[in-house]
Amino acid sequence: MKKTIRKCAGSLALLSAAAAALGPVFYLLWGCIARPQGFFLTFLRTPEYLYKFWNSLGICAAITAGQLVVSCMGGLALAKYPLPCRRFLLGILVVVLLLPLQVTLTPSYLILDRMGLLDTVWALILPAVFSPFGTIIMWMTFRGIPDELMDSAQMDGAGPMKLLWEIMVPAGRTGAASVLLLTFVDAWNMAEQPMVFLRDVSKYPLSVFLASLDRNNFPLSFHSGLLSMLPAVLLLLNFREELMEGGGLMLEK
Amino acid sequence: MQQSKKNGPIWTNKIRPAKRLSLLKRRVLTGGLLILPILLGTLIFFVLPFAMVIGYSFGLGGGRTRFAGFSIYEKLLQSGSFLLAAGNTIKFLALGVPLLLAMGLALALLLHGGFPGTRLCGRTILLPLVLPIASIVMVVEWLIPAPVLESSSAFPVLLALYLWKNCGYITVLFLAGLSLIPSELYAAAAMEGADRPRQLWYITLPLLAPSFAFSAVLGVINSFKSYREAFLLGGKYPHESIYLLQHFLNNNFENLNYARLAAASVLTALPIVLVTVCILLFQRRRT
Repeated sequence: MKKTIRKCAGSLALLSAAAAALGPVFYLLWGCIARPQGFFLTFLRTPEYLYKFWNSLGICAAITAGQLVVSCMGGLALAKYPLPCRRFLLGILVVVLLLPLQVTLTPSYLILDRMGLLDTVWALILPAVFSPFGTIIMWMTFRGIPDELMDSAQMDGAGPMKLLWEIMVPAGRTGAASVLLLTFVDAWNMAEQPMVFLRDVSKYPLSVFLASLDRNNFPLSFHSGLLSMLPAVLLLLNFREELMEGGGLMLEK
Repeated sequence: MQQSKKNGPIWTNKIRPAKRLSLLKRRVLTGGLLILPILLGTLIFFVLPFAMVIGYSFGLGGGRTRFAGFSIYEKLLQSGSFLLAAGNTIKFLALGVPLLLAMGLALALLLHGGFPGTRLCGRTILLPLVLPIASIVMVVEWLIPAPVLESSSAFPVLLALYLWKNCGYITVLFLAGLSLIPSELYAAAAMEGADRPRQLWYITLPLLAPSFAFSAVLGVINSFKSYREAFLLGGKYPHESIYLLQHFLNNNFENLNYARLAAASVLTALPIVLVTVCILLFQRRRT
């Protein structure tokens, strides 16, 4: 009897968590189905919306790709190569990782100003590419992969690049998928950087532009809200298992 | 390359000492080249300009070279809007992170317990993480009437959004930690007569330490990102209960008040850097 009650309570908690996660998606879906005219408003009447959508997708893809390359290289170096002052380098990266945007925006602004990159997309892309986040994740991931894998590949004469991209990254693909997904989502939601680095409001990405839409225009809001969910949700569907398993490899050591 | 092919793994093989040294050098070089991009990028975009920022905060920058001492900091600490923003940010951090860890741990324990519904919950739990904030804020605005969002209740709404969004990934991290605990430990504890709460307290929680540490780091990082929700909910001038550090910074960026921005950056960075460095040094001593 006591066991049944426990089971019911546990299930109830799990199901309510699932409902909380799914609720907003169904709410938006239902809103879209109830107001099909919004589809035309979004796709035909608001050209700047679609333009922003693809533009933001491009920016996020560039950030994610850049961050992934830089992170896999740096992570492997920290995990498997004899670097001088390795702990010190790692310490710098961890400290910078923990500094919130509220601290780094002003330094980044000053340097982007000196480089003449303010008010360009590079101001959004470059600092995000060089965030230490992915490097730390890949360091933790590669650390959990046994040295033997790398040794045997090296024995077969694989060069460093081949070793990284054809042996180590596939072996640490759960970590790489986590970096990809988390970086993309973060970039897709960016608000602080465009508001500070871009003066020209017309260059704002979708994340900030959506805030300026008229919320009382329900058909347009529902459809644009649903469409902006699409890229990240598709990525999650694709990489969910890697993300779930990613933690195991990272925390192993 | 020829050499390493013939001799097998370059650092374990018994090669002549001179040769071995040069191969070690080559490994150091390869590692250095691999880490170069992230290191240079971090230095150029974050570390070096931060030195500039420290200069600005003492009045040395932007063409002015008169040392201002701590006067910029003094003015900043007297400004009501900075104190409000800093206070709200600290309050958010102090409430949000422990709640987030507790929720993530509870959900992970439930998912680990094998109750019915585990599959559905496991499949949907990461969804809030990827849903764009703009879309979610739309839903919130339709569900919660505007007067509530313009009152001091905006703070709990913001906190709930933070927990809802981040709980999934924290749960995944705790689940990973739980799966790494060998089940023999529990069997042995049960044989010794330890009941479930004791097993949780003496086995599960201590062995989850790495998950706790990593989750806390992510929780802190993401709590600073709640500005995004706050901005989308309340615009540039929200109710004062959700006036965060970023709102303060944005106002000063609009006025191009770099000295003040620099001082605010340094003051925010100071506790974070100090705590992080202390933890890193402490860890080093322990290992």
